[in-house]
Amino acid sequence: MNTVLSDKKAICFFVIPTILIYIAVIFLPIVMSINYSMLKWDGIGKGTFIGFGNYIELFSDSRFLNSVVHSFLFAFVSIFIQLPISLLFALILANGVKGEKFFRTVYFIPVIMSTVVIGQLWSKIYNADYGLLNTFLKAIGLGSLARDWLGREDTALIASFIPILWQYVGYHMLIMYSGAKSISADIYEAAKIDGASAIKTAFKITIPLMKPVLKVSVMFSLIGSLKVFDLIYVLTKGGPFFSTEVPSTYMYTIIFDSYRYGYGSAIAVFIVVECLVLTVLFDKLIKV
Amino acid sequence: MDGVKSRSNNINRRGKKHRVRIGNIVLMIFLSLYALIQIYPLVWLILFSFKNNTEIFGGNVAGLPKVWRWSNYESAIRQANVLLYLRNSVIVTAATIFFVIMLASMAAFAIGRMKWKLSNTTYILIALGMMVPIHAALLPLFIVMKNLNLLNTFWALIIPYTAFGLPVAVSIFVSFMKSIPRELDEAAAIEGCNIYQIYYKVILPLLRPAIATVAIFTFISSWNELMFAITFINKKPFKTLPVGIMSMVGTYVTKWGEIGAGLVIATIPTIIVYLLLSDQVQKSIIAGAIKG
Amino acid sequence: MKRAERKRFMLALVAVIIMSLVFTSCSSSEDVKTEDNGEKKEPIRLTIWHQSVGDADPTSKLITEAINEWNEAHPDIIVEEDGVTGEQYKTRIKTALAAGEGPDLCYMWGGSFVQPYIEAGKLLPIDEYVDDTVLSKLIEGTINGCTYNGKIYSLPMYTFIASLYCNTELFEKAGAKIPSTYDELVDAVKKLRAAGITPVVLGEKDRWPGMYWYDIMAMRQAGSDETKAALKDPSKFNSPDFIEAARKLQELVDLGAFNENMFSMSFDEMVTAFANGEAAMIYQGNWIQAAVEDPESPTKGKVVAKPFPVFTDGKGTVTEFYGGAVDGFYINATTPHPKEAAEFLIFLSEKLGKGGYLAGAGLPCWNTEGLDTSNLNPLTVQTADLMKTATSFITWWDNILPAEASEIHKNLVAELLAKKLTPEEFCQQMSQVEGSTLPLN
Repeated sequence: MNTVLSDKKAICFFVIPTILIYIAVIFLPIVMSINYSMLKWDGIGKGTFIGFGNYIELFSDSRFLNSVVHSFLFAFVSIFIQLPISLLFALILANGVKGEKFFRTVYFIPVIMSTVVIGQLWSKIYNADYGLLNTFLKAIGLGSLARDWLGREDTALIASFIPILWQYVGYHMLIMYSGAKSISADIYEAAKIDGASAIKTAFKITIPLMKPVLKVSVMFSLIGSLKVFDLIYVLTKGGPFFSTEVPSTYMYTIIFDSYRYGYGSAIAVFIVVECLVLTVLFDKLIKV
Repeated sequence: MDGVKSRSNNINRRGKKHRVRIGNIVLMIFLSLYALIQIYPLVWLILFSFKNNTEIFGGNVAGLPKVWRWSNYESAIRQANVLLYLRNSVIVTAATIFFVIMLASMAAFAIGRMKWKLSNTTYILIALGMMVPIHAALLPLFIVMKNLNLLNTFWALIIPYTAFGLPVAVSIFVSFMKSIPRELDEAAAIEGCNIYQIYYKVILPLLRPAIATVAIFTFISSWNELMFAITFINKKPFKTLPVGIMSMVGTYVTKWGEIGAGLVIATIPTIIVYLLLSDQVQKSIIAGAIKG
Repeated sequence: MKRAERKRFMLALVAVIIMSLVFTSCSSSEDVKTEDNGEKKEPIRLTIWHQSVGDADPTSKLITEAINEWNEAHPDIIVEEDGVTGEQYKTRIKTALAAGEGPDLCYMWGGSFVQPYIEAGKLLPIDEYVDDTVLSKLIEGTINGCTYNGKIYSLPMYTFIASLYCNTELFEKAGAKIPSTYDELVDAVKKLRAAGITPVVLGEKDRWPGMYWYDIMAMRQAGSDETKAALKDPSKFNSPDFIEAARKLQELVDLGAFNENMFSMSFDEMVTAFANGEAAMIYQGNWIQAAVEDPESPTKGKVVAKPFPVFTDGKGTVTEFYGGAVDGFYINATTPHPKEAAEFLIFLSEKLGKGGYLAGAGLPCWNTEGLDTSNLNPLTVQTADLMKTATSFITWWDNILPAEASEIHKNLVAELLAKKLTPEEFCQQMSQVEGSTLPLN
């Protein structure tokens, strides 16, 4: 058996096409970015080699360090608030309720909407003058809480997280749902015969069996948070006063507004390395 | 097999009918409320697509449009070259989904089920694709595509979309393969299947729910992608739908209602594909459960 | 069995190869055709990239018309256009030029946007193609914005100036006078606020609209010459006039001149809010006129364009204008057909310059004698008349200062508006930025 499963030729056959595409689209650009990150370069003329100068600057750039903190905060919120919500819905739906299919379909809708739509929608929800949120607060007598959610440093960060968290609940739910559904029905039967309650079944049987899928979800969520860009850029452009800036929005500004291709590439390399290190750590720490 | 029936039967037998009913009602209300929140953006987009700037940026955020401006749709269809760009988007997305599923399932098979030293390293390296911030990859990738002579072809989009779709797909496939019992491979091998047959005849059919899931995710990301589509393509015959819609965003004045109409047009195929594939997820799971 | 399985994989591979052939043949079919048609002489093909797209942009239609006209008249020089909207255009053109894969002609913003490309030799000087007959058709001085190191790189089309647009209806309602001095501005702000009207709308999420306010106030306070000197040598920003301008801006903030949600408001929302009559004033370029003059706009016909109020204690005069930027088309230094590209550039710039003015896209850089201006909208006429009084222009500071310095400048103005900085701190930090090397004339 083992000889069949470690057939070198077959392994090559299965993996090489993927590796080839990877070399062209992922590795080569990363290598080129590492090269750029050693340059002082405006992306136009010739760059000058400055070694690790950009990296040294990076770690004393408070705007950059803050953006990293924001992305970690976001990863934390995603993993500990968004994923449990997704898991709850996945379990309820996988457990079989009336309209399972309907709910599963509807919960996924925000994921398929384009960022432009989600961005426009939430900027209307948050709008200080006529936004739904402030209108609602005033209607229930909490008018004093109404504020310019995206325009204030103290609320902008959390206000820009919420739409992303909300949008991707359905994404993780679908992964977890198919994970839960792929658990053999026999196991549930057995649990039922033993008289286990639904909650007990979930914690003792379903969730442990879903570990590989949950691990994937956490990994997606972690990496997704560390390189989040789209919605933050649409909603706040990293403002006001960099209070919602994350590494990738900062990188975009540096490369395309400040013409600092070298420094921007250093941020890009940082993001890749950061994700890689955390993924490996996560993989080593949590064995499934 | 059907969870609802067997569970409620079970509980009925114990005579807890009443409590369960209230619990169910509360649950349904909760689920429905959340459904309302999730479906809201779609409803909002449709209403938005009939408004003009005055209404969109004025007081009428959530309400019905004062006048239903079908002209927004006429204008969007004309400006966004909907038919041509739709066709291009379909070609690019279909090819991407095909390649992602083929390549990712093969790679995942080697990683998840075969035994070799670099298996885990390869897995992590593939995950690397998720970690690249695309705005930084733009210039390097542009240079790569230029040197491969692929700019202004569909390949300039299909190849990067496939590469960026692979990590997610491989992860999902690998995690699913872990839930397929190893004995299956052994049994197949004893019956005389070679490794390719194990992949093709044994594992691939069992992956069906995962394939549908991967197809959905790949579809969404490549259907809506804008950055590469704008940078790598500058000839009309190869432009995709998001580029068409963005071409309605004026430099100084933008008619948002028309953009909304374009977005509705672009979203409809997404919903159709999602409904089809999502059904497939469900069906293949049930089919798999009966067999297994 | 083994073979059969392999066969299937082979089949899949073959399918992939066929697909790839189909796609690549799609992509090259166009070239094949031209070879067939032009057996004797193959036409020269020029590509042009621009940022004018969408129905709302008057330039978009003009470019297509001009190109069609050119292609009909010159079957041997075929021009192909490709437009992508603003923000995405910047990303694309920067990426393509960095990779050495730009089009033959491309739209570029003037000043510090295009300057690094010129210095790196990426763009072609066109002096040898531009003769006096062309230059004589230009309004005097407008060629300066296209000249770098004594060489002409582009021709102007039309230009923009910033003006204070005032909603007369709201001013009447509040019993306020349209301001022509700073004191009157303060007075108007107070009266408008008292009447419950937002005096000025500002979309500071995009940061450049706020910059316009500080920049014009600095010009009014310090005067044109002192401002130009400071832009070249920013250490001069740390001086009483620039501090006083910052102080006045914060005074306006304290009086509640601006909308409270300015930091979350985008440019789009700002313009729409003004066009909807939600604020009495906006200080912006001509490009906002399209929204105000739109047939559906509630403020159509109720808005007047005025020069920014003068400061009685300032050195600036009412004839000094913020604006006058010259954006235009530039030729890629690597184009195989520089002569044809230059001819087309001259043709296109004149077409767009005249047509764009008539369509309300901007103010003229070409002589407009003999053009039928009776259909111009009133705001275009007003701003064109204002421009005729101009004695000097200073264009958008983010087109003057180098890229990174202008980013810093915009961020500092935002912090000034939020009162996170004192006027002194603001000027102290402004004095640290890199100065402009552009000739400011």
